[in-house]
Amino acid sequence: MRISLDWLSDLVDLPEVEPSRLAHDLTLATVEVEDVVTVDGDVILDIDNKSLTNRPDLWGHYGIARELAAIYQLPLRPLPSAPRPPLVADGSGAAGSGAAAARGLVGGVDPALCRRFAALRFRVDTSVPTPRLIRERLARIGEASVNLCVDLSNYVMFTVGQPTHVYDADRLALPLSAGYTPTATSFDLLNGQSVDLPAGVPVITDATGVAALAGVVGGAATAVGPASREFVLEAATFRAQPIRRATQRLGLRTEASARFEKGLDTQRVDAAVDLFLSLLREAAPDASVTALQDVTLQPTAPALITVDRDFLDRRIGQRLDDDELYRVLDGLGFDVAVDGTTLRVAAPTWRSTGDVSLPHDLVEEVGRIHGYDRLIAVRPTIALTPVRRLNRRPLDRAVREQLATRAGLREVLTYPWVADHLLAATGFDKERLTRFQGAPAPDRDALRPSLIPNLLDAVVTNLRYHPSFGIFEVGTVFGGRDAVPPRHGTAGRRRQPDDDEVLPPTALALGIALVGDDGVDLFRRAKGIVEMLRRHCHLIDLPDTDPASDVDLSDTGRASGGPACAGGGDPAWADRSARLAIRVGATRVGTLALVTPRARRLTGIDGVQVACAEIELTRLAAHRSRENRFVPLPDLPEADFDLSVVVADTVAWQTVEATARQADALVAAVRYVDEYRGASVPDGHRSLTLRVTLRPRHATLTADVIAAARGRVLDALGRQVRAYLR
Amino acid sequence: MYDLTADAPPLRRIADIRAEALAAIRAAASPAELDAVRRRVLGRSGVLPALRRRLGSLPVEGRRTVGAAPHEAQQSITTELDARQRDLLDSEPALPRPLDVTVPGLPAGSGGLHPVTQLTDDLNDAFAALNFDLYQGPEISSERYEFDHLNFPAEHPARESMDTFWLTGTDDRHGAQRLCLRPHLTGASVRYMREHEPPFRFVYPGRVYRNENTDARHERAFFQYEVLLVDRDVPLATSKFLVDTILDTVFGHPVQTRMRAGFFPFVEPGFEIDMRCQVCAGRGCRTCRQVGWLEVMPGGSPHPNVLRAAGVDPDRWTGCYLNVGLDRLVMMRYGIDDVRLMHSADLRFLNQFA
Repeated sequence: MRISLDWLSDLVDLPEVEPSRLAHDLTLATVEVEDVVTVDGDVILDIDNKSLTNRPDLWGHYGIARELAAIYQLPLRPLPSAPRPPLVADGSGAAGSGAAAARGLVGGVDPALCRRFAALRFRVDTSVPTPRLIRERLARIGEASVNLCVDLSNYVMFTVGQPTHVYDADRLALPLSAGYTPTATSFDLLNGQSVDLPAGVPVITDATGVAALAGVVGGAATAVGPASREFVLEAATFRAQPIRRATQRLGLRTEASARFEKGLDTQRVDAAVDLFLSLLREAAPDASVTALQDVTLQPTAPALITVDRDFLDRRIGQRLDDDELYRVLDGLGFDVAVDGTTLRVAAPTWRSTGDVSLPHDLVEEVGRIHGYDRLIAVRPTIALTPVRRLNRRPLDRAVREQLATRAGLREVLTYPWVADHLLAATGFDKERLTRFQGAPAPDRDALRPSLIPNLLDAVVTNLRYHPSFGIFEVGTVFGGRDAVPPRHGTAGRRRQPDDDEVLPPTALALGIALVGDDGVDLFRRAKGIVEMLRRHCHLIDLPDTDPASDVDLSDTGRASGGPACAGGGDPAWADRSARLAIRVGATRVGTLALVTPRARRLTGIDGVQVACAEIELTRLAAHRSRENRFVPLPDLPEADFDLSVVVADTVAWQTVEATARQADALVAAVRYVDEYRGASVPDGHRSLTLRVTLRPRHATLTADVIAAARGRVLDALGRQVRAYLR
Repeated sequence: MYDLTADAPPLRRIADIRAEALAAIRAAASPAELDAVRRRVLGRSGVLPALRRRLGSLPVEGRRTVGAAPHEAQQSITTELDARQRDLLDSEPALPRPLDVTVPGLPAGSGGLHPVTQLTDDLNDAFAALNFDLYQGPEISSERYEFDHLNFPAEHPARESMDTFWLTGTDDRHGAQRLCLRPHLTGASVRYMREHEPPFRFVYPGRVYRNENTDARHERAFFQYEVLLVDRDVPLATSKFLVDTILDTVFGHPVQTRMRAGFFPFVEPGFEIDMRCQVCAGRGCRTCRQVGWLEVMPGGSPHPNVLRAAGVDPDRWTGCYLNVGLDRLVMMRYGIDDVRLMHSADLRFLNQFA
């Protein structure tokens, strides 16, 4: 909304401060001034409409003037008025004595739509120009001049915030009524646009049909034109909700509807009618005002608030002088009666349509005009009761930090929605996912069931600049439409159950993607990272990796594709030649695998291998402290020896390791060194090099003892896994 | 030179050999030079063994005069040689070849946390020091928690202007049955309050979603950080202390702020906190649209209706909300000019943040 300082100067003597200072003070106490511009020697304040949504009184210059008067402790001038014409029939239908009484200006008024409806009949020569001052002021706030009647109506609205509408009385079949369209109909607006009105839209009708969209815009058929001579001014108080609903349904918003939607008080009709009459008399002394009909169904009652003075002091945080307190409230139009320590406050009607109703509102009124900025910062008193274990970081944070520092991966954040082609590439069935309206693109309206699709997209993005890299994301993944009760939040007793809220399942997941040339290397690095997390995040029940060799599991994984979050069956992106299930004890919590060539092709990854892991973090928990026990350092030196043995490809390293470990009581560790295929290794076999560590128990290891142990290890490998020395 | 042929008395010659050997040892500048001295003096054909051979041919009386002098000379020369050898080795450089110390260091690992995560963690630590709890609300929520419980009247324009992403299939329902991607964090505060006994002090960071057009300053998915303190008496100005805590954490130095009137349905009274633009230090620039101030944090006391919805008696308890737009603070912290980079997953961007 634009406010002219020249216009304001009619209403309050502005202080002699720079406009920027005035804008700053108004911003701190009342509404945000976004810009200050000079137009034709006048200064225009551009006010952010969002900061006005709760203040129907500020949608005109008079409301802003009242605020400035309160801020600077200046008197606010009353609005001008002029003698009113004789009243005609009131809401009861009783005839008055005016000339137009016989026909009546106002007919039926639906109380669900309208609290007050006033109509003023007048005659004026339309060749009379709009006074220059009014035209210029309207122009400076961006309103074009139309003709005298319309300009005065607009000027009234921008002064007091009350919309009015002027009809050509000769094109009306009086009286005017306020109600709803009984059936669908079409209607031509005064701007030439035609709209289809469904049944139930609030309208003003005359005897022939719809004359205006109530509170929104007038009709073409009754619009004021150059030939108009006789006029009816409508000044009504429409209820906020029907107008808001109508503008939403019709997609029409106007300066008038914006004001009615905020909730206006009925008393403002008086201010509007009086100002209009005064301006009309000034602009066209020959104008004759013939009749006024005023139907008030439900006048706005002042909000009454009782508040203890101590409450105000405690909430504001300091005790203000009585004088200042009463001056602030009085300046804003509040009536205050003091009864001991209790204040009985009557809010002005322009603040009583929903804006002010509680003692807390008075805290705000006093606080903001006194100046929030002048309040002294108060440190909260902190109870020593611990609210959480401050030495423990949330698990997701520990995971992030370990991945970023120890594993050298870079954290990325991707959107929670996922593109259709990425879902298809990774084997998720979109039809089973949670979807939302208003998506950034029609093919991105599904919420990600896994972090992997968007991570693969991030791989594509970065392959342009980096041949190899490692990234990870920690974020929410969304289950399917089979809703379950919410599972979230910190542990705590749910004091207030809210059983009928049913949310789709969500989980916090970790996704990792490693990119490079060597698939084996990527896979082993990913596996090492997952194993590292178990140790360095102190996870309970270790997510040990073991082969996902279960055929049934992988088949169900491929068939389902959802709705599971991370941790369901084998996902379709996981290549069957290099994949592992990640478990916590017996529970599967994720997958580690090379990405299939198909998924790489469909996501646009070319020329590199990608290893991915996804773990459902929600299922994991960390030890409250530490779980590992100290192992005494050996007194006697250990001894190592390496063995290179040929074994069939069907024998897993895990089996070889376990066999060697159990071969002799002295074996303390068996480590994988490397493997070889080629000369002297038959097809379907590989040569494994392992390093065996012997730990002496009572006496130093001798060459004979080491040789005997080596013999037993070789013997066990030969017998149990048919391994032989290369 | 050693005068082996001279007729000088043997004892004097031994003394000369010793003195000259020690001088040569001290003068040796490298292990090779020292080795040459060793060979010349003590080697098989060195001067000292040669002298000792000649002394062997002396008569008994002459040998007695010389006594242990040759052996002592050999010992002291050997000791000195060893000591000098050690010194020379100790002073040798670690590298045999010259090194250009200006060549770049080798990378220590390219891992790192997203700048939003870093700021969230910093703020969590700052509020942990003030004994605030940490809470995570669900990213999918309902109209009940995001609007009804927060004192948005039915059909309040904010329900639309929030431009909420409603879940398909629930948009024709109401309340707990109408689901959305959360448009703000505040709904989570009601969940926390319903689960715990007052007084409360907790923070709840997270990502929120609005159906908006994106540009360098606007995103559909962005991060907020919200703080709620509920206690018997929480004066309005408590929020200033919390604001100072946040800004000091973000920028590492106090930042000038201003607190002004603001309206949100879930607070009464409400306020907005502006901070001095850190790009232009308040002189006015494009970032702050020439006003020198940037709106960073709305807040206020929880509206009595919000406390009631949370099962908290508003006559006994009051509090203070503070909501921070994290993206904007991250942008100010590093001078980032486009909010869309946050979700770009572009390593050229992310690798800049240590």
